[in-house]
Amino acid sequence: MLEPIAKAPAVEVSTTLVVRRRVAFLDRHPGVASWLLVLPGTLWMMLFVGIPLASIVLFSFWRSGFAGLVPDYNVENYAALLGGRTFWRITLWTYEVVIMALAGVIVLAYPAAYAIWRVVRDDRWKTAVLLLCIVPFWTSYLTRTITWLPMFGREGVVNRVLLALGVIGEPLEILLYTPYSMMWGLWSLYIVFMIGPLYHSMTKIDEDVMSAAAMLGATPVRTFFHIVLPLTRPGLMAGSLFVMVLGLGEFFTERVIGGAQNPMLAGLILRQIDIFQWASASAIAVTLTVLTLVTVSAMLRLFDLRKV
Amino acid sequence: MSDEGTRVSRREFVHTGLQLGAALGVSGLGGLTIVGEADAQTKRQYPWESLPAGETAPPTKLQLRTIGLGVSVQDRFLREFERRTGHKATGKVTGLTPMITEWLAGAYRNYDTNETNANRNAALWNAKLLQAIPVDKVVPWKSARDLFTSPKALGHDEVSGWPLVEIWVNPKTQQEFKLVPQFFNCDSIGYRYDLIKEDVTSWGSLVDPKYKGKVGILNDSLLTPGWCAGYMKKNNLAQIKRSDNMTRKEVDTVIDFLIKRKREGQFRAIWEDYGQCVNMLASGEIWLADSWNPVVEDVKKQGVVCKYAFPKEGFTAWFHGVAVAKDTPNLQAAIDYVNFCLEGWWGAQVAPQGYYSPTTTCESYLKASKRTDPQGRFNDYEWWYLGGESEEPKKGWPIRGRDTGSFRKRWSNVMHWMVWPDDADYYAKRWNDFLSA
Amino acid sequence: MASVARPLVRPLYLAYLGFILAVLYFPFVVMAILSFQGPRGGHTFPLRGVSTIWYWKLFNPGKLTPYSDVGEFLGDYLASLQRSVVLAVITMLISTALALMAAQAFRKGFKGSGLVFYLWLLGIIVPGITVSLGLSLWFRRMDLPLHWLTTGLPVHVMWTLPFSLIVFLMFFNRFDTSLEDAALILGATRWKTFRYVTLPLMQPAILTSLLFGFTLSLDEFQRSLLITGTDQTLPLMVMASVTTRITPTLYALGTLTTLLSFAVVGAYLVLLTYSLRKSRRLQ
Repeated sequence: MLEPIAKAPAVEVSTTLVVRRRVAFLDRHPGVASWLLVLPGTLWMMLFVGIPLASIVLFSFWRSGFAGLVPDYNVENYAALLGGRTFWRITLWTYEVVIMALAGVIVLAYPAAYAIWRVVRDDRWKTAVLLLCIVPFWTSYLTRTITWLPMFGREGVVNRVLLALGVIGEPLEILLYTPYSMMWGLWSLYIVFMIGPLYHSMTKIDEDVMSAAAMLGATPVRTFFHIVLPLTRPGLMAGSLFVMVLGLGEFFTERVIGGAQNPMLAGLILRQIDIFQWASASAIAVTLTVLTLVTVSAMLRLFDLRKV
Repeated sequence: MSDEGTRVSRREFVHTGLQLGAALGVSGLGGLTIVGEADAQTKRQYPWESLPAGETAPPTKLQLRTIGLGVSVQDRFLREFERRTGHKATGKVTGLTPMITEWLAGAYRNYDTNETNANRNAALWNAKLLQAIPVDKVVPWKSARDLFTSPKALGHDEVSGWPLVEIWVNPKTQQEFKLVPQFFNCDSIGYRYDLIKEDVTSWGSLVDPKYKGKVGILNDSLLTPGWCAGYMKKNNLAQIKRSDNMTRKEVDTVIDFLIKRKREGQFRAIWEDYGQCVNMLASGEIWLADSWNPVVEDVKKQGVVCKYAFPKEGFTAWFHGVAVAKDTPNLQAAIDYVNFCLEGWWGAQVAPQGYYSPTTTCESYLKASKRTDPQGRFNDYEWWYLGGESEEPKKGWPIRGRDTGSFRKRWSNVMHWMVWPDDADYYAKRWNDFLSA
Repeated sequence: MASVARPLVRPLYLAYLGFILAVLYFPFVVMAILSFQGPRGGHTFPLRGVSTIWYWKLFNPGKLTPYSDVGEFLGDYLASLQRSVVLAVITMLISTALALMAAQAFRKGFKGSGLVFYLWLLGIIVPGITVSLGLSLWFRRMDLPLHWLTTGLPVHVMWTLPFSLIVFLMFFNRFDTSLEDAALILGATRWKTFRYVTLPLMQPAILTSLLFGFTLSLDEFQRSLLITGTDQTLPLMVMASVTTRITPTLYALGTLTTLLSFAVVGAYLVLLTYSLRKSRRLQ
């Protein structure tokens, strides 16, 4: 229906006058256009995140009655939470876990992304490998986690094989229900969120830069730290944001693979809801939100994704 | 027949027998119900009474929407209810916490009944989200066990008033139900007899350093300190007045003891879900756990030698019930459902998980089926309720029936009921300390 | 694109990649084996007999067998899988579209963009359980009936939107605008530039956003927990099943979904090959 653009005039020829005027208006006022673009999503978020968030901030200052909330404004929930040693211990542990998870994922993901980018040749194979990485996540995480017991339990596959080969004398207990097993679980859960963004950023690195580096005699290590790392910062930041945020909200792996003996922050919320303490659950949720916001803004300060 | 709350007159016995004859025709449900003889036609007085196989009641305008745990909300129970009454039945299976939270947040308008643990019911009742059911609307209650009607019954707890205080609006007059009991049981310890090589006889085994690293305990801030308190109290390890409802100092004593054990590596894992516990026991990941009765039955089905303990300090008792939503448009369907659960067929279906029915109506159904005994000598009633004992000795008594013995034996050995403690949030706070220790 | 990595190192990289994939797929191997567990077996080793009964149970929900456990969860997994897939597809489409529009706005910058950015991030920052709780209270107040598609969709989109936005922002970071500039100079309007120049260039980002959105929505259960209503999505049903009994039916389901995913991915790759060949022939 649209006629092809004529070469010379800058004005669209084929649409009606009204649309032309509207489009011209938007062209002259890019600010309005931006607002219109961002509006639907923002409205959605305000409605479905803003309202619950406002509610729980409100609730965190109320009291938990036996069967609901009592609008009795107080700061006891926060006092009890922040004054107790357990909260700080759990928070410290949560951050330890998240940082170790992030570090591990970065170390594990870089070579993999690099391999897909440079070592795998065909475009189709690249796509295939990337898709293969994501397919496991289309099966419920719960189902995958419960297979840990037949895999890593005392009578699981790994232990049986190792015992049969004579590598160990007794089943390894460390494979399940320990902080180490939990970390391993988190790595295998989050790695896909790092490989994707890293690979993306790598594809934007100009081939010529890499060739130049090689010709000038840079060692692989140098190439990595001086070329690849800086140029993949957007992907690294995106992936780190994902891992960080998912990690701070994590509570399931800790229970099922970690044996529930090293709780993380997000699990506290559920436990409070268990016993109808909605006010203190809200207080924990608000605190966790604030902590996450602070962490995210600190990360963005290192590298602002929004910079074009 | 046992003498537990038997108020069945001879006329009613005959009536029940005729109903049983009709029910024996109920087939098409595999080997799980009684495989039939010829049915006897009888005129039904109520829609929830049993219906001969192949017949279906005409659909009514009412429906039943229920929510509960996987043990009580099952498709085949709802289909049978629908077949008998004609009310359309749907059920949602979810965990206790989401169910109660949903209900409190207002979702009670989407449901007609909920099937909950009794200690949660007070929260819903106090929030006025339920309605009372008059006792005369629940017809099978005539055959109720005295545990739910008399303060003098075996298992009744004087101090807390359980279970009566949770069931009746007024325990003295017993005119209206707050919560209609649906099934009940008492818990102890599940253990791998083949690995431990001896019988466990005390809750103390869970905290015994002899089994360091082989124990699993439930991740529940109220229940786990509860049994530990009972253990410490009965063995004079601490001064505790009420193990089901402790003061803050008492909670501290118990939790500090548990923390000490945790730091010594006593607990291999802390389990949350039913399936997880079965898993861990069956694979030998843990040797003993404060598991629920059906867990042990499931592990046994896998051919693993697992037993349920008879602890000297006593069992921890609980019951589940059906509560009806306030202002439900399907009140009659809800009442029919309550009657259906107590009529006997339902009770017979859950018995093989080890659950008892609050009325004696399931006995006739259970006596006619012999699914449990591997050697087929004793019928299901003798296995699950009599546990291999009886006042009328039978050839072959005592059998290795149910692990922990008869109804009478278990209920005379109750440590405490799983009551909702007054200081529940203090329990939770200290439990968090324990978990992060 | 020729690969330049040194020939000695190449097999090492490939081996590493293989290792990562092996680790990701190890659970599936175990799952596949155990899905053929005998009727009396549990969901750990050893295998007590071999049977396809657990697959049968997937396709015959609610039906009993002589081996049926009294308390067994006989839910209709396939129906909830269908619901989850439908929800995930709609979620990924809406989320990508909204995030794409917003990313364009963020590129140019606008007043208050910082605040809006953090508002979007809140979707993944606020803990899931509390979102569920807060929203369910509000739905009750507005007397909205809970249904997996009507009340479940907003929550899923809310969860995936920030991810999609970050993907697009990452893509636009240090984005080479020379092609766009050229189009504008040659007289195209912004809209035409966007449609015919920017959009095709954004294909990888769009694909990533779609994939992430689909994956995240498929497995979302924290936020959906209290607001889904009677018909549950797959993760909620799996959760209900896990808290009742864990049976190898779950493994059968997992194996089936993986095989299905392979089929979908395989079909996509075949299409890709075909279109590549076609475009090569046209050149």
